[in-house]
Amino acid sequence: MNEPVNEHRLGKEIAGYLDGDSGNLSVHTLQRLQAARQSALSRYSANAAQHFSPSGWAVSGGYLSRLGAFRGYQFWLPVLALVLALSALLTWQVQQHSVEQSEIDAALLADDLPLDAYINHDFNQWVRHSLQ
Amino acid sequence: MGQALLAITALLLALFAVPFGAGPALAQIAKQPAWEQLTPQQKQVLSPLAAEWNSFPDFQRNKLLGIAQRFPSLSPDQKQRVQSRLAEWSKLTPAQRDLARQNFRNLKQLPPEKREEARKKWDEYRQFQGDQADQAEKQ
Repeated sequence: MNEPVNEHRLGKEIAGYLDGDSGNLSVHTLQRLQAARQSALSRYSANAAQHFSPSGWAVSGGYLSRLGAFRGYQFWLPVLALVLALSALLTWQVQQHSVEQSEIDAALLADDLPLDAYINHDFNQWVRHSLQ
Repeated sequence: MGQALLAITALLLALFAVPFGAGPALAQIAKQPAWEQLTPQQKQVLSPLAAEWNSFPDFQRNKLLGIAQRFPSLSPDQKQRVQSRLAEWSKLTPAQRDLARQNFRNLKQLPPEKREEARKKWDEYRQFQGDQADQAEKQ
């Protein structure tokens, strides 16, 4: 239980020593310290702004914070391209299937064997057997 | 993990969107003309089906219009066969038509000599059936 109190006291003592000695620092060292502080502060504020921006709603971090990528064209452009490509492929397949079936239907109806032959079980069993 | 999530979401979006994208193609098959809207050439080819045309579902009309489109490229003998079989063809069930197409494809895969043998087999089979029917009639 005493540890936090001791730590606090130790901290105060160190701060006292540092304050006492800060008057002895050279102007050059003071300038460097000030520049480092400014730099750290500006980096901190930029980071905080990004974290709490509208796209940064997933403040919990981890992969959820990367969801911001969904908003960019880098994500939507490939998705759109994929959707369009799949649509085109399906459209082409539907049309192609229809064309192929019509071709078969026309050839089948024009064939010298009658329709009965093509729906006759025994005859087609023989054809299948010949194919093996 | 993030990349996997992006990929899965993109795939899901694409799969949901594709049916909408393919809508025009499916609609093309979904809406087929009534008999009155056919061209004179189509009516001439499909004349054996004039009475039933408007009762046919759209997918069946679509296939029949495909046949009418190929009709001009056929020989006179083939044209005659197509027209004489159209009514019989349209009375088959979709499953029977699919079976006929499959069997037609199978027969086309046979080498020419086997195909010729198949035609002879069919003639023999018909002859055999005819003889059996004659015998049954006599008894």
